[in-house]
Amino acid sequence: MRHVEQEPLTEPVLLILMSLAGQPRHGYVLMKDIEELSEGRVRLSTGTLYGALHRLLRGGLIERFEQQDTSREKQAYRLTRAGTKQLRAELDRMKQLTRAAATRLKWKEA
Amino acid sequence: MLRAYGLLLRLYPKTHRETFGLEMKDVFRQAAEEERSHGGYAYLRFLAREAAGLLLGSGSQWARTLQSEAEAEPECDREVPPEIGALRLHIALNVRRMEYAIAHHQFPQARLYSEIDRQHRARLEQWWREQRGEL
Repeated sequence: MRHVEQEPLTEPVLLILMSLAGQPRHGYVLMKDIEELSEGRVRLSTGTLYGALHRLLRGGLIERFEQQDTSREKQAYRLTRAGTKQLRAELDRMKQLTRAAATRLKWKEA
Repeated sequence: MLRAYGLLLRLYPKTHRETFGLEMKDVFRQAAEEERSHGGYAYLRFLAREAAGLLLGSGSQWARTLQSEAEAEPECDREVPPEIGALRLHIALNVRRMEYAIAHHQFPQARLYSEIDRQHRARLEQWWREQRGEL
């Protein structure tokens, strides 16, 4: 099993991890939640969504499981411990960048 | 439309299709129902997005499959010339660019990256065939 990202996550991947941080979700619900999280800016196609899910599964950042009362077409996905760690690391990186950018803007305005 | 979608899914490598094919079709069906309720224009945009996503997604998936196969052959890896190593790196970088373009709905750029990807993969495939003595 390979762990995917030491580099910044792509936006679809970040949004998938964010969506699954709340609760496990099926493909369609995940797609709609990503649209909502991004305030309508990111609308993933099924090709993009499942490409990203495939990479995340291979990287061990999410896992797939069957829920009771659902058919084979409705497998659910949830974040693994490694996925949670990766999401936290990415948020820390973004916070650091935001702080750095704010500092630079203050210098410019001063 | 679901049938056409099923046909386009055949562009993906078999393993990907077997793992995700049913789910992808189900998600497409639900999304198509919703988009249709928003009117003809929204539905057409949705279909264009889906078609582009499938074409580029299958290209990326094939690139990864070829890359995995190449990585799984360590004996040959020792003999990989620098330009082939660079080509693999270009493929990986180009896939990232393609994903970014798709995610931001920059379809002309995505198509350009897709074409570059196709050329790179053709060159890699040609090299592998030369190595196997098929050419």
